[in-house]
Amino acid sequence: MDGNDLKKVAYYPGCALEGTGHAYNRSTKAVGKALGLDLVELKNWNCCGAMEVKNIDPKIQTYLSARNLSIAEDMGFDTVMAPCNGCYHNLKKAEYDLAHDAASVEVNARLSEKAGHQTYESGGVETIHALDWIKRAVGEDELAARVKNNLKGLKIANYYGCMYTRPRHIFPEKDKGPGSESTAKPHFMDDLLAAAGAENVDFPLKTACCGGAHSLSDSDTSTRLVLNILETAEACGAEVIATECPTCHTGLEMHQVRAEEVLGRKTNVKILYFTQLLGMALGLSQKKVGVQENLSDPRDLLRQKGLG
Amino acid sequence: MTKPILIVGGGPAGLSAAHALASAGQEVVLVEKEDRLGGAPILQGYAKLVPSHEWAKDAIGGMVDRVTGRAGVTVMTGATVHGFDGTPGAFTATLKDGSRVEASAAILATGFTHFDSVNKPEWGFGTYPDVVTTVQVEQMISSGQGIRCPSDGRVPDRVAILLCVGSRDRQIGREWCSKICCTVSANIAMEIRELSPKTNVYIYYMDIRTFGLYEGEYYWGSQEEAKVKYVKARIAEVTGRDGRLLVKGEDTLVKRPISIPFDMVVHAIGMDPNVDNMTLGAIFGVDLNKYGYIAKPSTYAHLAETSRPGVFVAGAATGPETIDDSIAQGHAAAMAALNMVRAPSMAAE
Amino acid sequence: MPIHEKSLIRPENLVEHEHLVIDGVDVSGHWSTFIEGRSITDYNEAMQDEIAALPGGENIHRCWQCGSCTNACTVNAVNPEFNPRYWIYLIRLGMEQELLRDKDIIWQCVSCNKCTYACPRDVVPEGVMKATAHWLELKGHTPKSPSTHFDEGFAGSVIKTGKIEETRVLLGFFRRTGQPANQPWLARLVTGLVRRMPLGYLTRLGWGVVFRPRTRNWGAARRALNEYVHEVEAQNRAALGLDGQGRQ
Repeated sequence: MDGNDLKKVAYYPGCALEGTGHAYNRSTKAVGKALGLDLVELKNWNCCGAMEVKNIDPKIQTYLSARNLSIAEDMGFDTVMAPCNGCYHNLKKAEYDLAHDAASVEVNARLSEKAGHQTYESGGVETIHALDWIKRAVGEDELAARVKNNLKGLKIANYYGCMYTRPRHIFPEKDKGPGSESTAKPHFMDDLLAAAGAENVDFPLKTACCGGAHSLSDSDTSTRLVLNILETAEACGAEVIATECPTCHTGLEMHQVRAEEVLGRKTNVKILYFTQLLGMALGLSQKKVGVQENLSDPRDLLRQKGLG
Repeated sequence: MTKPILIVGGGPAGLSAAHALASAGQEVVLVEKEDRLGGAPILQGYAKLVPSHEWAKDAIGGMVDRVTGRAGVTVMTGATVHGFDGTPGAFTATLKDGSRVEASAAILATGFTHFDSVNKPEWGFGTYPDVVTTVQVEQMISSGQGIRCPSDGRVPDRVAILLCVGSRDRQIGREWCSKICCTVSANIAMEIRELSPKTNVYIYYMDIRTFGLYEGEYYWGSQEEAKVKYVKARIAEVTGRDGRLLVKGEDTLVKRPISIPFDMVVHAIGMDPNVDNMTLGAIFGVDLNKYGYIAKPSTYAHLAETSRPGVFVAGAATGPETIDDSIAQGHAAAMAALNMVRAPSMAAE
Repeated sequence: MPIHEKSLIRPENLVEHEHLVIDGVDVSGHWSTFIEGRSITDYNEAMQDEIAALPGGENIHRCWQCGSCTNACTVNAVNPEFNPRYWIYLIRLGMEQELLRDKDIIWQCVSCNKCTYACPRDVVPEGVMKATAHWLELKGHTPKSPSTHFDEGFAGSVIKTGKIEETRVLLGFFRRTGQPANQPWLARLVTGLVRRMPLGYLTRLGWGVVFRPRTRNWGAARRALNEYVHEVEAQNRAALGLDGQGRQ
């Protein structure tokens, strides 16, 4: 699929972007608008099931995602963009399971029929992440040309988390050589932020886990995992951790506070969605990309750098 | 007078088939894509071979000499087959340069391709210069330079050999054992210990498959004589620290995480199907098996046959294979082809 | 028994009698210390099949003990006792008592899928961890873990309305696990938000608690999903030889 086809795609924000990830939703839409891209939200979508529903039964999760894919198909789209790693992962997983597992196909058909809508069959809709969307629809060169407010001097650690690359079999388009995304060392976010002038630091924990699955149910583990990510980013010289998932983002922010409260370990690295950073590079105000909603409060740092 | 038999590939299997056919008075055309004969042991610069301990350049070099210039054997190097038509007894092969070779039968001895370690990036190949492959260590030994870290030329104090790199791994679609890497690694470990007694060698394994008589000489020998250490651990990642390499994993026998510094890490790389197999399969009209090697429809009754009558196969083209078995299969394919060419009615039974 | 050897024996295997006299000799206290047998005397052969029958456990029989899962494991890095490779071995052979020693930490798998990414045999260790945690609960070896409470609350919301609302899920989780919602670090989060947030945003967060976000026309899907959940639960119990009430 060439970039032109991605100028207008179906948009699946998911539950988190309507709640704690509000700033991601807002900045994603704002960046799309600034880049001349069009997002059409899925009509009457449902929750993807995150990780929790899978633990009750994986096929429920497959059905939930299949229903969303069938909505995209009904609306005449062959591409759906999901900025949340969890939603993106689940749509990809449903696509894989419906192509490879007869039992998943059977359960999805049965539930879809009872629920009274079209049964989604694999191959109908391609799921992409917000990173794919900007990278493929616009690309680094055009992005660089549109930058009004260079991110120069801003040292960024790019954090992708777990669900964007693992397990690798649900992402058949990755690891396909030059130009494709790598599951071992993802770089799409690095590429886009570099195009906007940022200085990406060499960050070894790009795909480390923040413990998001147990953010509340095993908070101590999550806090330790997040603290390791934050301290490593600082040790690598980063002023900002760029995120591309609301669960990772909220986890880093929440447990940054918790690490300070419970373990007495304070970190100063600021956490921003990559779309917030790109938005400001494209000349949008801090407010427009929702920086006031970021718990790590990067407003002073951004002002020092002349951003937003 | 029958037409010559076409042999594709000048490695151990092809050289063996050529020798066998020439010895039986059968005319042969041997086509090799590289500029010289010998296959992987010569082209990749292997050191001493298992199990004879002869240098590859002598052992396989001898097989090359035996065929080169011999009456009835036409060797064409730098040549590849682009078309192959006809029926048993009357095939025509079209080469890259447009020339044609008439052949009564064909033997595919097209070998394998070494696994490319960049496909397992977590183990540091391509990132750290001191992460090397077994083939590179073979070259260090055969060239006479000795075991040295590529980064700065120092002799390593400590070497780790990681087994099953590109073998036995569903994550990268390689559901086979490459058969020879355990034994080759034990052999290399012993060579390293002999060349540099101060260097300690550790082999990280999931299982050890020094099958048959290799058990005593290589698995036992490497421990009892060369004091090579074996660790039951699959390595998670290789990273760099302070100019050395850090090998991280779980030592499964002590149930503890390990993070051990090394000077050199060696990937025991597996045997992939020849990268050209899809093309070869299409040109010669032969089926590949589910792994991507050339399929052998019959195990017992029709040795060396492919899915196409008159086209035979030998050696690592059919799956991971040792050098000595490749040589035996070259002989077997020669005999099968010869039977078909000289007594087609009997061979069909 | 020499005192220094005691450290090598698991405490539950050390037995002492407070008052014991043998043949007129008082061997009370540490004089009577003996060690329980430590041999494993039988295998529970049903264990692997039972766990394989639960969602996620399907491929456990593929494991060849290479340790890729454990050495890639996020949780193992912070707690070396968390060892998927070892547990899979115990389950495959049916060493139930050994597994039960670790029963209270198995649910802590964070589903990062590093193990699944590394596993050369596609065992999907992440799924096996979930199936094992599920098995421990169904068998009554452990109470429902905080993670299960969270999953059930979350899934319940999705099945009921088609969506979730984060504040509601969070409060429901604290209620289910009997924790106070006014934890200091959470309080700081909320005050931090209130200080900087535009009123509209806060109103919207609160709004979500009062008026649940929901997918329209979800009724038929809800009925189908509830029916399916019951079907799956019955299947899972049957595979473990449990009746409808979860008894053996």
